[in-house]
Amino acid sequence: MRGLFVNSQKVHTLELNLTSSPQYGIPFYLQYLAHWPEYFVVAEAPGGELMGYIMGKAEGSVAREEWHGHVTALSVAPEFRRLGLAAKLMELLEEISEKKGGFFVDLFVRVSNQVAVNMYKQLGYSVYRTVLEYYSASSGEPDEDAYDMRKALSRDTEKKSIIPLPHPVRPEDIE
Amino acid sequence: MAIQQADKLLKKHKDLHCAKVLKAIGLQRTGKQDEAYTLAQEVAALEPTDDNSLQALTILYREMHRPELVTKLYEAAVKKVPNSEEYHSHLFMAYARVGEYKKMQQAGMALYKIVPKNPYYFWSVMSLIMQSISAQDENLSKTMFLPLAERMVEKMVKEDKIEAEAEVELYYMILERLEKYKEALDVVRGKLGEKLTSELQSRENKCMAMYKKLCRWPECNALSRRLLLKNSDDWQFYITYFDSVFQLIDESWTPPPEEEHSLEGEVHYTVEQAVKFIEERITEESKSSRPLRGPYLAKLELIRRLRYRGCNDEYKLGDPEELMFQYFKKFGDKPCCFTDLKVFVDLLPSSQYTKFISQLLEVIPLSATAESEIALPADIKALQQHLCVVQLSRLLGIYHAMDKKQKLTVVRELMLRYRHGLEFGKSCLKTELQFSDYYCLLAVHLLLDLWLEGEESAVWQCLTLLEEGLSHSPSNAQFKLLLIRIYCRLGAFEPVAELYSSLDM
Repeated sequence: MRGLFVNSQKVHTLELNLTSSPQYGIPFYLQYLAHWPEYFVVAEAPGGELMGYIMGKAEGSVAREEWHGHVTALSVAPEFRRLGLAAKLMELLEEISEKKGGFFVDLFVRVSNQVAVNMYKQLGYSVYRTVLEYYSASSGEPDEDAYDMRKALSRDTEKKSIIPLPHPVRPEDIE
Repeated sequence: MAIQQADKLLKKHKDLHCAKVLKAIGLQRTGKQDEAYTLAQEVAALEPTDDNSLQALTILYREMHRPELVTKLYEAAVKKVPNSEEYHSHLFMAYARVGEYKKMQQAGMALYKIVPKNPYYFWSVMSLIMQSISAQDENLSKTMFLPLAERMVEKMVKEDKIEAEAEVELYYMILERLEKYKEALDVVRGKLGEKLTSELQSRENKCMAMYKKLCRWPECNALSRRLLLKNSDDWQFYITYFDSVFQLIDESWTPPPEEEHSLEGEVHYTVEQAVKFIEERITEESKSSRPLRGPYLAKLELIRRLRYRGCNDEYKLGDPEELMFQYFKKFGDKPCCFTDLKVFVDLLPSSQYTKFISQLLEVIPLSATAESEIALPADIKALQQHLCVVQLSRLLGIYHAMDKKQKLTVVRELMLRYRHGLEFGKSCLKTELQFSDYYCLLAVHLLLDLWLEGEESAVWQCLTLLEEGLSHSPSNAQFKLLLIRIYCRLGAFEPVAELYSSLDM
């Protein structure tokens, strides 16, 4: 794996976004590249094809033990599925977060996306809370809830960060 | 409504700058750009120094896409309040938005003089690097901007004032651009390099880059060997490992007596060692329930390198055909098998193509049923294996050699397989692709070949097949792209717009 923009000067646009990954604009990606380049990891196949990527950030208060890594986007191209690549990319993001002294890693996933929810559960993530109407829908469909899933890192010795909340929250309530 | 509020305020406090600017923002957002601009300039001419007005004007100018006006604003503010860290900061940012690197450099140093914080100093250094990158005269980069940046950083190093990881990254960047690779290597391997912690393998990657530039093949080899032991799927390091081994062989390198092979440890400098290393990686992988592809492909890469040097047979690595067959047996049910093998098909002799394809087909569990004349896969894995073989067939030109009648037979068969394969994808979401989509795509490509050879009617069948494919797999971009191209070629532009926007790029 190499980090994008570190070894290679090329920008692998975004053939991946022809799949089902979220549609972010270029400024969004550039912001992440500028702010958290270490979290931008790209996997390249021997023939040079882009296999997949992961993008994330670190945020939250250390004092409140909320300093954590966050998975913003994870995408694997259809031709490179079923190789354990998503798990590997998640592992790398967790390693980076550990290095930064994060207490946990979290991510948001659509409640209806059972495939993804199960994949993250298999990787050791659990549902911390539900965020109501997190995903605003296009054209007429209702907004969708999200699961905020978490995995505790080694700094959270008592695994306090993953004790589930008893009730759902709204997007405004998220820090 | 905001405009009304602002007006109310202005009635009471005629000269409240901030209120005027807020009114201007309201005007701008309701489409009255000229009025907004005039009002804004009225306030700007008075050279305000209150934070609210300045921030509001900044917002307004950015919405108007006039970032250069922000620089003028803060230049005036800074003249009036020369010791304001905040205004100098904003001025620096304003210059950054318009790419005025020289002014950024000066603003950075001005900030540092007010408050000697490292970031300000290094903003100035970074501005010098930007000047070197954008300089029209390449000479100036190398002889003025970069050396000046280098001296600035060296000063901080000497005074032991380096704090942040980013500062070390900048230092490395400057030295690399100056082609001072030895110095860059020393920085990374030295005490300063210990700060390079954010990115995984940052120090190793930078060291590797420098070893390559310095042609230090022992180090390249030792480091790539170590990194491969950590992760035997990291393809770039197989390439480096092989490159370096062969360089060392060509240089007749031997390890120094009674000393470390290299700064990075043990070095492999013979073909035998390389062969053994790869075989060991394969043995390790074969123990795992989920073997990584890297070592197997690396063996094929090694064969290619040895062939190129005219010496494959001595090392008994085996025939590429056999290795690729074994690879197919292991990984054929993964979609990436085709793209992996594609890299190495040049190792196959063309006389063997048909035999190779037959060999692969034989191991796929297909069975003919009462209804179908052709043998079909019973599950997704078998389907994927078969797809891989079909793709390889096209790649190796097997369809290309056929005549029109045979091609049309193949098309018919591919579509039969496509439709049969839809069974497996019944539970696929709208955003997922059907497992059998590639059959449809290949059928279409065959028809396109026929069309380009003069078969007029083929293109119409292409369109119907593509639309059929799209109806089952609405997210398949390849279907959409092909449809767009064909419709355009035929001059039928109406469907194109919707297809294009559904690609959402």
